[in-house]
Amino acid sequence: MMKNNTKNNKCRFAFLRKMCALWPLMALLFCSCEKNLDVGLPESQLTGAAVFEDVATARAALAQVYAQLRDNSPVNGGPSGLGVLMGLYADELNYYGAPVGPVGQFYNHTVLPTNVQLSSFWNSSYSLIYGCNAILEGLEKSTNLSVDDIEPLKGEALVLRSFAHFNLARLFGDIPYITTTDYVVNSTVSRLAKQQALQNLITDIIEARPLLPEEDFTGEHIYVDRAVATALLAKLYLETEQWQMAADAASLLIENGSYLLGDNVEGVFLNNSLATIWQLKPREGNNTAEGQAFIFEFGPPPFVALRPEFVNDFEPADARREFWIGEVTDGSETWYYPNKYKLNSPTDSSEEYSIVMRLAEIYLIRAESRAQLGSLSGAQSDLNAVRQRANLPPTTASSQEALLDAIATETLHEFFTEQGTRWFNLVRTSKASETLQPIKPAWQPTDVLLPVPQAELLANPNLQPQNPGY
Amino acid sequence: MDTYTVSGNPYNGTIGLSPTQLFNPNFGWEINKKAELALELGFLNDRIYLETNYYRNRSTNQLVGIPLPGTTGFQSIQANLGAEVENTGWEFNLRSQNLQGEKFKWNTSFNITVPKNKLVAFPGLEASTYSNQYVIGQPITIRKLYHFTGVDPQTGIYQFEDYNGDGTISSPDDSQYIVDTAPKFYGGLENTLSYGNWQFDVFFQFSKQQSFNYWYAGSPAGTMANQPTAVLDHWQQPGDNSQTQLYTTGANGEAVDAFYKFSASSAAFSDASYVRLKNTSLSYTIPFQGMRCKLFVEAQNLLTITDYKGGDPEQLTGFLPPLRRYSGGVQLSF
Repeated sequence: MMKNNTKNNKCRFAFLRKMCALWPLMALLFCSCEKNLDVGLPESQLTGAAVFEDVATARAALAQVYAQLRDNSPVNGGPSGLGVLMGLYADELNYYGAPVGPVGQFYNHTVLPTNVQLSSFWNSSYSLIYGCNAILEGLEKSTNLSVDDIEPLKGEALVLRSFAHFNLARLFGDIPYITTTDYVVNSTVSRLAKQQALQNLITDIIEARPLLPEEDFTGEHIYVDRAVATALLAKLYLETEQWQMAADAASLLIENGSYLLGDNVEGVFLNNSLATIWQLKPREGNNTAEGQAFIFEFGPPPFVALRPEFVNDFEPADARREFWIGEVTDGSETWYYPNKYKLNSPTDSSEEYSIVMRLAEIYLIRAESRAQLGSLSGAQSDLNAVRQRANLPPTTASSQEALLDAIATETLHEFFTEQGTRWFNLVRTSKASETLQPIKPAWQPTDVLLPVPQAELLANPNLQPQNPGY
Repeated sequence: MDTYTVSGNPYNGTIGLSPTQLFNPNFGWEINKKAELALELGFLNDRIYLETNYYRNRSTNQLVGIPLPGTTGFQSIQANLGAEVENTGWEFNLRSQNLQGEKFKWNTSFNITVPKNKLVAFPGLEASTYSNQYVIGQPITIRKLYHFTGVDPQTGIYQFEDYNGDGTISSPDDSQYIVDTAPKFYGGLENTLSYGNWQFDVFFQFSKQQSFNYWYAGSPAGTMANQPTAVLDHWQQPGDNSQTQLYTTGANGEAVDAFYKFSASSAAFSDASYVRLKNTSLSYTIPFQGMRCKLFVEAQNLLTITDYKGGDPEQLTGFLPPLRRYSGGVQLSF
């Protein structure tokens, strides 16, 4: 009996011991990762918080925004940029590719909400805006950076964010105005009325301006500095028809003294031009995407060419006709291309940068604002400054209406195929219908706004309704 | 965690750091619940043998890349979806030995699957980025399309149903015609006949389904692109009753627009059911002493019966359909 008991005890004991050995396994059984998974960070990545504890990594985050602006944004200068697409959409360029492709849709005014170029305008801009907001939030939380480090970074991010929104508002009208990285907020955002959005951008730039350095530290005008902020402000005031403010902002730049129109049109698009307010620096040794998109050596043109009617519209003495327009002929037919940028291949060191803003536009902004304010002689003198550099005699326009027309023509001849300037001016001055109706068979008055990309409307019903006409 | 990666895209010599992904602190496991019932029946000494399966799988809390609008700066975010998706289905497999003679044998095997998919629940579907993609109670394989109503005899342009009655056809409000791209059922039928040293196999495959046809990825007739012969019957003058609209080089904006709506409409979706003679083979075994010698000829994809308007109903996308193949050979075993 006794013996038996002991044996039984032993047995039970052994069983318990076995159980003990199993405990770690049992424990695993009961502790599954019910809620959250936590995997370590790959070595090639930095957390957002760490990036903004060091000024070098914070600047690198901003460098990415500039690179994105240059390579993958509406101002990229290449075949998917505003210069080409809105040049085709307006009256600057003819198209020689497939008519029903996404680019052909711009030329023929048959843009569909599913057009990939359209979503590229939209998505690349908002991706850039996210980058700016991430920087702004990172700087806000940073504990290690000094005020001197934070201020210029913040100013640049604010202006870059405004610039991206500005292009969107001019293309699409009412747009979501995004100031956070919170995807929950941003995925259900509604559209803000265009005028309100533009007013917000003005407020942002006014906040950013004092934070920025007088001139960017490289002296090459390749970063956002106070002059870039002022120029953008002038453009926004013009867009919102605040003429006096636009004229005042323009005067700040014209009277600054660091920027000069120059005596002739030849060196305007070189990277050391004194007229340049802001340009985007290509990768080392590269030149501009504009050069690659526009220049061709044999006809018929492979992609796009200037409309002959536009070329013939220049006054005979206009130096820009000679220096900024290239010609190709096959003996019987002649084609023209924008030749502002002369280089379409890499050089030892980059010679031409893609210019975003230059002083001539500021003169023309002030001319228009002054004409609107009734200061006709002031408007004439600003207009003549631009004309004189192009070897043209002073304007003969003397009434307000004639002056405004002369300024619009001058802007076209000065800024053709640059960042959609022509198209944006046609819309801004309500001249799009009368100008494009005769030359675009499919023109509809509702074409002044591009359609919101269909994928966006599907993913976020709060963006409805679609723009009229689509 | 919101993270930054080296982008390799320098600006003025500074290598950029780009945001890698959106910050989502709440990841979890997907939950799958599976149930299956099976019944196997054999009759007449298993000469007729029937397997029946019913399965029901329900999954929730799926960890997926949830699509986001571009306004977030990203295309998607890894997150758990609260949706409950149910897959149910019947599977039958019937084998019978029809004849078992001394020399002549005939076996048949037949299988069929009837799958069903349903979105059972999706809390917050209306407010989510899936609101225009899914409908509760419908399969998740549905597509919402414009409803094609014919060619306008006066203008020669494709017409669609204006669901919201606002006078224009636009997505998503007028893309309300629901189609299901998943097969209704599919299966196969195999017969094996042997007589002495001869053996003959024949296998059919079938599927009952609807799918996108050649209109789905086409270009307007009149542009420099290949066209289905159906465009020959196109609208030419007022009064014509045609199923295909007028030709355009791409300059007629209204026609181009209508064409692209057409290719995202009910007209671009049609029956793609088929029966295909997938495999046929005939073999003869020569009775040698001490070794086996088998001669055979085989053919694949000999015959397809379908009304599909497009390339190949089995391989609905892509350019290389299943090839028709013939092969013959000698097999020696020592």
